[in-house]
Amino acid sequence: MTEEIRILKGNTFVVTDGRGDIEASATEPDGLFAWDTRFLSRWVLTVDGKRLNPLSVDDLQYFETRFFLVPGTGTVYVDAKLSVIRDRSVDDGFVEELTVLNHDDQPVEITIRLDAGADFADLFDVKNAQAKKGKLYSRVEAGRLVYGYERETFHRTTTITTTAPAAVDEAGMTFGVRLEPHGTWATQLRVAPAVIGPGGRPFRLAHPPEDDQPDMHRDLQAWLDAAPRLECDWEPLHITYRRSLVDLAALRFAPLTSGGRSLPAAGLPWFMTMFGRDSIFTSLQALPFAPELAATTLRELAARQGSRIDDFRDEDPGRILHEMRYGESAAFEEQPHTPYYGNADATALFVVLLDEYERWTGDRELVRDLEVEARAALTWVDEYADLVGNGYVWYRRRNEQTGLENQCWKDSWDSISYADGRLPGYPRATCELQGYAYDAKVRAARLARLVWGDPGYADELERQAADLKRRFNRDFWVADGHYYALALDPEGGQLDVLSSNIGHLLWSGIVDVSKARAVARHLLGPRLFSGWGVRTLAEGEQRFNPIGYHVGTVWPFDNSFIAWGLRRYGFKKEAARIAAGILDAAEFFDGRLPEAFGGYERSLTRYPVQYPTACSPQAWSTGAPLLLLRTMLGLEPVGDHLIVDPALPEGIGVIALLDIPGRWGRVDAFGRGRVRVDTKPRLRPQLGADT
Amino acid sequence: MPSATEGFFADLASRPDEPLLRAATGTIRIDLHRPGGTDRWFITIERGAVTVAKRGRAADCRVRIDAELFDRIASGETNALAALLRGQLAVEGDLELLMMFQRLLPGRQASRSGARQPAAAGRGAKS
Repeated sequence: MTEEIRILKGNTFVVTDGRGDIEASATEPDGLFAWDTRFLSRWVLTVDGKRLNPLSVDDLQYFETRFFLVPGTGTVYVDAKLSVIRDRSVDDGFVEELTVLNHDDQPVEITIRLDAGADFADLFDVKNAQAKKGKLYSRVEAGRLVYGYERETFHRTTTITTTAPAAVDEAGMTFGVRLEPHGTWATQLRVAPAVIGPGGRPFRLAHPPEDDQPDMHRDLQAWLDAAPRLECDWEPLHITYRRSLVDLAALRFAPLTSGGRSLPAAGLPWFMTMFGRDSIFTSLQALPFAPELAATTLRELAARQGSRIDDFRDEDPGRILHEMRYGESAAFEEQPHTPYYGNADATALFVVLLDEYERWTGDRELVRDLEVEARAALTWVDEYADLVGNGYVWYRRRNEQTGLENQCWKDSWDSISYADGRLPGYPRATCELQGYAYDAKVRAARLARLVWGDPGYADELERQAADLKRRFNRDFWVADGHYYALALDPEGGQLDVLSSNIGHLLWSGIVDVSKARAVARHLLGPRLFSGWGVRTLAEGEQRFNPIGYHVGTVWPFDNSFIAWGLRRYGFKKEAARIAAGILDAAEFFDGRLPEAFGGYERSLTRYPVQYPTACSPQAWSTGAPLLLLRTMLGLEPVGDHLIVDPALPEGIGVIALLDIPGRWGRVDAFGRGRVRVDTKPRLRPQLGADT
Repeated sequence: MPSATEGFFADLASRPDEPLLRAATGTIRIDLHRPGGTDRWFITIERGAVTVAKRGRAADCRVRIDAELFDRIASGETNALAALLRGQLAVEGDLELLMMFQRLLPGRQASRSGARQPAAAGRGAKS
């Protein structure tokens, strides 16, 4: 009964147990959530007072599930004369088609009961088990059950309706049902969350759908049809590829100002909202497959680009947002998420995505439209992020109560340390931030010449980039270890731990060619490479922990960018080896890579150990196999052509990726696996097993 | 001494073209409710050019808000999006226009000098 069933659409999601019931606790994210609020915390079905027993659960689509149930829990006795089907699909809330079948040749009278309840917990309360500050109410109105929560002017409601008549009370609804021999009874239950504005009028936080009853099946099919078609000898890749496309569809989120267009929300259950960093990385990964995500991400992040100095939100002019939230703690400014800007990477990455998007699509109009924002982003990098005044990107939160301590992708408190485990003071300058800044300048110079008609600005950006690269290779290089320091401390001293961040440096192109081989060797060396992927922190470091969130686990997204970086410097075999490890791991998760998994040695565990509270699906993990496909095939847009330069692991056989969209229209890419990845015969074929 | 609201609109009226709003065109009407009456402001944005008036006609977006609350928004003490989520803004019409406009409002700062200091302790005054 502990199995979790999750369905989702945009920022609405439902988490239930294996029989479709919700019995939320203070700390578990079970329930119906929308806009960072739990609108339903109790939803328990009984027949004649007895709980039901699941026979099967079909995850039909990401937005719908079907539960087959029979009355009577436990294993001793199951009354097989009745069966119950709960067909549930998520929209703004959810709709449940409840059907009861009598298999007997006698009529039967039963009592069907649905217990309901709503605690209106803010997602942050669920994370931190906070008590409510306002007033909860419940009432019965004309056959409908309404739950509500009010705190001053803040007002949210959940309305539950049924098509079949019911006796409704404040704790649920009861149906007295007589079923004829072989008869059927059914009702449709609808759970509708609402945000209530002044005057008691509901208002929408999302762009209204074009159609009142959008056909989600057709929409999903159209999404899948628009993506390139994969042909491959290695069956698991088909499953992973399809899973990635479907999960990406599930995570599409249309914020208020997008005119209905979608960008990827970051992940279930904690991050079902717009994140600057996550949306950008995912859009980069998905460019060869669904380039329109990048366009929406760029437009929406631009529309919310920082415009003022706000210390509570860590906002500055030009800064790209970190996270937007809609719940009670954001509304009352107990949390700074309206939006919060505390990241030091998304602003440069915004420019990187703009250029990469143009390379793939040739959409110069968007580049022209966003010139002001791109320039403001570059100005932020130079003027606001350089807290020390020495030409590097630094971070230090100004909101010391609820702001983020670490404003890079490894944003947990202990992720940035010295080799001896000490934590440095602030501000901090992690190495990959310098890489992103370098890449942003180089790419913006190209756009300035090509689209903005400002060669002087291009020259200046290139001069700055060259200077940054020269200084970086001097100040961050750990000479006796032959790798780059994780970060500089406020005094300019090196945090000389070996970390996966050095892989991002390859991706950004800031690594001196003379140093690249040493970096690649470390990435594939025994301290960083587990056999499945590159660990966030190297084995042997003081804070290394194979199940430490950012200090030893393997992150599929991280690895996909590292593989891209290795390809950029010509390390084809090394990139293929990482692709092999991550794709092998994906197979163990039925094609759905979690946010992170354990950094244990592959030969030790034989399977990837899931990180306990990892988000899944998570957008940039979903995007990882897509980017790995790109790196394995060596896809690179050059002018109006797509260059294909495959380097595939041997076990993968032949890959064909057909109808890749881009400025060239649609083209196909083919590759054959030739890179040996130490594979030995096993019970099941794997790509990168080394034992 | 003029209120934060008057200061904000006066500043807005004197600004040159606002590049952040270059894609926006439309008129926002803001009704500020105070005991004894309503102050009405019309903000017209025409591809980045902002004009402010006390009189006007049709608006694409109409906002009703308590005058005292808007004063706190105009001084950066509270945030317009948070107030919207709290249910303190009644909005009709083009909400996207309001989203664009709110970027012109000031942020919350520990000191008005713009010095980059940590946020002061003890914030969290709620409406």
